[in-house]
Amino acid sequence: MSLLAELTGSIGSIGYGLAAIGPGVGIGIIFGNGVQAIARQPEAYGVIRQNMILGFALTEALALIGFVVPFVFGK
Amino acid sequence: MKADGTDLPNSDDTRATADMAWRSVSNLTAGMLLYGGLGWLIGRKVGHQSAFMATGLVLGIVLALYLTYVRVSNMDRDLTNDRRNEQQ
Amino acid sequence: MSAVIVSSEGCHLNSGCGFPAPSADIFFLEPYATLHIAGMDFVIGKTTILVALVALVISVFFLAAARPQRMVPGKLQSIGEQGYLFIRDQIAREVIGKDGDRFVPFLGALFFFVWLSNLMGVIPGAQFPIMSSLAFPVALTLVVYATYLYLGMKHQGPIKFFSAAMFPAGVPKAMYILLAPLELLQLVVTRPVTQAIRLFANMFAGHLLITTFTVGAYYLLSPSIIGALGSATSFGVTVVLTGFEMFIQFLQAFIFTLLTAVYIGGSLHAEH
Repeated sequence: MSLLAELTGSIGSIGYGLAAIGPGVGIGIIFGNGVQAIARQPEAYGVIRQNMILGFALTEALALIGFVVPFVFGK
Repeated sequence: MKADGTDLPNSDDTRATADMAWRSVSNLTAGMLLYGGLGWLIGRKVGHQSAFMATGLVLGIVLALYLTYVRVSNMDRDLTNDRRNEQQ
Repeated sequence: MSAVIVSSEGCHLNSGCGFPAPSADIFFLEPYATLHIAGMDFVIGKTTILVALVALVISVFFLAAARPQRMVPGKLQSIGEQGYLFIRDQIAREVIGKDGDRFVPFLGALFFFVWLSNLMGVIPGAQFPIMSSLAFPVALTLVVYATYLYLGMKHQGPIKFFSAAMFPAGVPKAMYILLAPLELLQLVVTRPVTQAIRLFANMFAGHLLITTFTVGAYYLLSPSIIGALGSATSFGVTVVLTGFEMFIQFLQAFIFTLLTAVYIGGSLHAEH
């Protein structure tokens, strides 16, 4: 088998870049929908805010995992 | 907007929300640092460095998320109590 | 940036040299003068002069704006008042509440210093965002760190300040052992470190990005179709990125000040 293509250099940074796409979209969706919900019903601010922050924390965790994984599995 | 700020809407609310939102990022990084670091140190002593560090990281993330959940519930409960006490 | 261009003079698309990509070296500027005092080197370079200039401009502007004190403000006074009111209403009162008024000078000084230092990145002639060398965000963060720790310990007592943060309510007792070091680490280490690194990384990345596209526009200048098109596109992207960068500079200054206000508010009002 001959080598057709090879990727050298800092693969970890490419990995983090790819890993940040999903959480970026996710956080945008969370806060966008949260703001819309608050606009529709301002009395429900407390409940909406609680869920917004929880969702944000969970999604952010994925982005931070993507940052750390190259250090875990790399050399 | 009055000059001495007495007609501000819910400054307590805003402060608590902003506080909590930034706290969740800090919680996550601190959790990953602390327990990931502990896992890494244990891995250096025992061998299989990456497995221990990965376990530590996951544990750190889970704990940080739990802490965020606890704090958000506390914050919500306190703000609701404050609002209820105010209205009485 | 001058170091990169000088070393790549005449280096264009078909000259045989590769693309001289700007790296972290562009942030280390040549000093103009070096003083040796007591065995230590004090370097006077572009950064030193820029920082002195920023501090001077802000001091002179606000002193000049505050001097007239007319009831119906003139132009300079009304600009100064708008700056003050922005900090007081949007940051101090929103986040700290009523007793945030006495922190407005501190927050205002932080905000305008960080914003003007960032703006030095796009002002022609200077073109070096001061906050992109790590020392400056770290220095500012140390001031903020000392402030909120001191305020917390003064208002809530040192033991209560830490224990209220470390032991939240509603957690089974066994979990305290796992959660308390996490909270302590977050209060003492992560907060200042993330605040400094957020400002530093944003300014560093923005400056590097604009420099890359500017060097690319220069490098692609060559008598060929691809060269001309590429150079024009690169230059256009540089213009767009500069506009975006100006927005990011304001935003990062605002976030730095907002975080300072959040930490001060957290120190003043006890956690329940």
